[in-house]
Amino acid sequence: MSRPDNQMETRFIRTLATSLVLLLVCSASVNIYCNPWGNYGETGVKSLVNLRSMKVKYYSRLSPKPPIVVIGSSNTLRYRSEAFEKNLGKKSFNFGVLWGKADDFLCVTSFVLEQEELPEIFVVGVDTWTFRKVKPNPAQNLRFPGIRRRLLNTSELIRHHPEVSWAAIRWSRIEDLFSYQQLRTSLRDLRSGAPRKRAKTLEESLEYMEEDGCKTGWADQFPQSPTYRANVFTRVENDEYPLSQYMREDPQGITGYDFKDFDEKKIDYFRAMLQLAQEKKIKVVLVRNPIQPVFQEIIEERTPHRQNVQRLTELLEAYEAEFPETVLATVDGDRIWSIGGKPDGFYDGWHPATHNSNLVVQLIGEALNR
Amino acid sequence: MIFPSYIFLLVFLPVTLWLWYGIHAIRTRLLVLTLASYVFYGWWDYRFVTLMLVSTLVDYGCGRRIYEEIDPARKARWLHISLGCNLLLLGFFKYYDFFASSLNVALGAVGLDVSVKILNIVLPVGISFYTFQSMSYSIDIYTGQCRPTRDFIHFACYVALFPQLVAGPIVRYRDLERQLNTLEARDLDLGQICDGIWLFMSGLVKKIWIADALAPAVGYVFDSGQAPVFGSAWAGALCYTFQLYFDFSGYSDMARGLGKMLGFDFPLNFNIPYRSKNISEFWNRWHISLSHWLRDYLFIPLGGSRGTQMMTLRNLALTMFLGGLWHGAAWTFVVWGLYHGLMLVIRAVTAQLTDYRLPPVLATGVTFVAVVVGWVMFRAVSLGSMMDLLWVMAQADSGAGRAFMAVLGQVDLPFFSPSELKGLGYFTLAFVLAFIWPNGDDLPKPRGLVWAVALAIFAFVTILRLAAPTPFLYFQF
Repeated sequence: MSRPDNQMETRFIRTLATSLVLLLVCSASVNIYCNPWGNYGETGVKSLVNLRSMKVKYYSRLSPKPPIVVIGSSNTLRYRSEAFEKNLGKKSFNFGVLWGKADDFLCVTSFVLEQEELPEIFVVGVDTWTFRKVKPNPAQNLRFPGIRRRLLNTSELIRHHPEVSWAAIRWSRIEDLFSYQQLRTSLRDLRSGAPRKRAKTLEESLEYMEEDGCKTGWADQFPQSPTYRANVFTRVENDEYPLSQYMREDPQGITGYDFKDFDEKKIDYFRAMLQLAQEKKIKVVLVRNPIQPVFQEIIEERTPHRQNVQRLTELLEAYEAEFPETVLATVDGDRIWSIGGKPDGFYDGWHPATHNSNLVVQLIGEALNR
Repeated sequence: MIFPSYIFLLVFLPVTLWLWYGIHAIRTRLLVLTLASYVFYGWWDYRFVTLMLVSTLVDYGCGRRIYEEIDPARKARWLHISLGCNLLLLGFFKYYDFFASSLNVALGAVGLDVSVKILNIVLPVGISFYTFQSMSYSIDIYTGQCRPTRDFIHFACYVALFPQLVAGPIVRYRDLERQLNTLEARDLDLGQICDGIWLFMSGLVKKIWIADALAPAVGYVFDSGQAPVFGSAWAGALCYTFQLYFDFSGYSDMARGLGKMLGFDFPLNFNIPYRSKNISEFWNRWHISLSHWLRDYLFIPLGGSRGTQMMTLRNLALTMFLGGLWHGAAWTFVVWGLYHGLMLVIRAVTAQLTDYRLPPVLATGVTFVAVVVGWVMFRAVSLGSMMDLLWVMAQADSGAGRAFMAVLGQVDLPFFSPSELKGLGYFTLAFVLAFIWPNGDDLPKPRGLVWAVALAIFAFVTILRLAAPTPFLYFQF
């Protein structure tokens, strides 16, 4: 029973509660309406290009499925089916995803091995940062540090992640309704004036990828300094892009290689991926992706890259020794320089363009045909 | 579960308050509150709920036996059982690995090829707090300062009460007994609820806006492995001084605020401690519930200041030694405790030898610096790094300003990207607020509707910043 002279307190509590609830509802509404990360289905002010989601849907419907599946980050996105057919007589599907790391590889492998039609070979492209220990970053979902939101929002993949539960993802989406990160991104999307439309449908996904899963034109959207200018993809493919010169003048992207620690969890995820392949008798080729030579000089000078490469090499050798029947070969992408690799055949310091990617596939072919 | 988290603020707290005020039968209310508190505790790790329940059952039973026994020897025996069980729990979970590894080092040093097994025991959150709380119950019954409750739900609620369960204040049963027993007779006190809301918000702001913002700067100095220099060591020490204060007093404010929302009054735990003019005063303003617990249950039973001067000094040193050890199973905490014991001894001796007192501002400054030095011991990850930091803090160099600013550049500013200048501004604000932010009882708590809307907006902005729940520093104790 409340005292009769509590009117002021009653009004205070009611006003406080009502105002707070209203503000929270507004925040949630804006975030659901804008849906910048695709947390809440396929609606949103701007279309969200989720390559992981597209490839999952596309691959599910592919029939027949190619005998080779490429797994990796965007650094593998020009390892084309055409090149595999030329060198190995087999088609491929490129399941490379932007910023793909070891946990993506495990999820993709698990997904592919759930399909009725299994591949014969996984070609897994790795870099030193595949195993990098990620520091929590305000741009990420801080409940799942190091896991890309696009992976979190691809249910067919994320359910294979050993550390992410169904309930945790759903709760994190509720938390995101009231997070500064998402609200800021939502308001930015609203201000940009982009027309409201659905995310790309499966059929429209071929604007973003080719039928073999490779990607075209995407290098043009990378953040670059004024030194590098525009139309990167086309100019590189036409040998009209003096990347080495630009790299010397204005090196970009060094921080991605500036780290000391490998993440034991990621090492375990990679091992789990190989274990799965072994169980299903799928062969694996490990590829260390090549790096642009001027960029490599710079990062060897300014970061622990040399030690990280050493560590990566030892890791790959250890995997090969642990899974001798599964890992057919480990290919060093830097060997493309001895078979005609072009120093300017990169979109930036780490994404090999078509010519250099074809040479990597040639090396894979040589290793398997030996 | 921690207070500044979505699950607590958006689900647990509203549901608990709704149940608490929606149920009329008092025993049912207390049962629901107890169960909610167990859910709160179990959210962190459900296995340790059993531990707390066992501790509660033992102390409830022992409390009644202590009271009912007439024979003093048997009374004492039941007290020893209660204390023994609590200390066994605390000793095993908190100190086993510490003493085992220290023993292994010692055995290795004398050339013995024997080692004690390290068990890598997980420390249950809040065990230091609830065991001390339970022990105070048994001791107070033994000394006749309170009577045991016949109602197990009353006692279980007292031990598990979620606002103060994991990081205090350490509430004595005699302080809560009357409040529990008069629940039925008391009207719903909306004024107390409003006060509780303001106090809770005060604590939330301290934790989210200040303590968490300073944390990266502290980590940059203490955890990065970089060799410290004069400027960076002092910057890190000062940032930690404010981080710890705002984190811990923020938690205490939130705990007291939640208590008020439920109709309970918990004792004040912090009283603007950095204004202290001497170390004795500091310990009457910092973590007051612990220092009073140590005084009443350790210092005074040891003899307090009733014996010779040497015995008084011994009792002071021993109390602070154990107080340091209570904070954590590491030699740095022991050193910190002994350091404060030494300062208390020096204070006691000088107070007796001379009537001269430093001017108040100078006294506050000297005390503050002494406390800051102590926090370096408290925070250091090892004795070695502690010595390194203290050593460089005593050796000024020409790059001090640069190094100081580099640390402040790590401050995680709310909604702004970090910069050294902004970090300096934020640090200065924290410095000033540490000396002027009123304690909970003096905090203004206006009731106007404009204030309600302003508070709602501020609460909303604070909730936006809850993206990653960060544990309270005192959770590790």
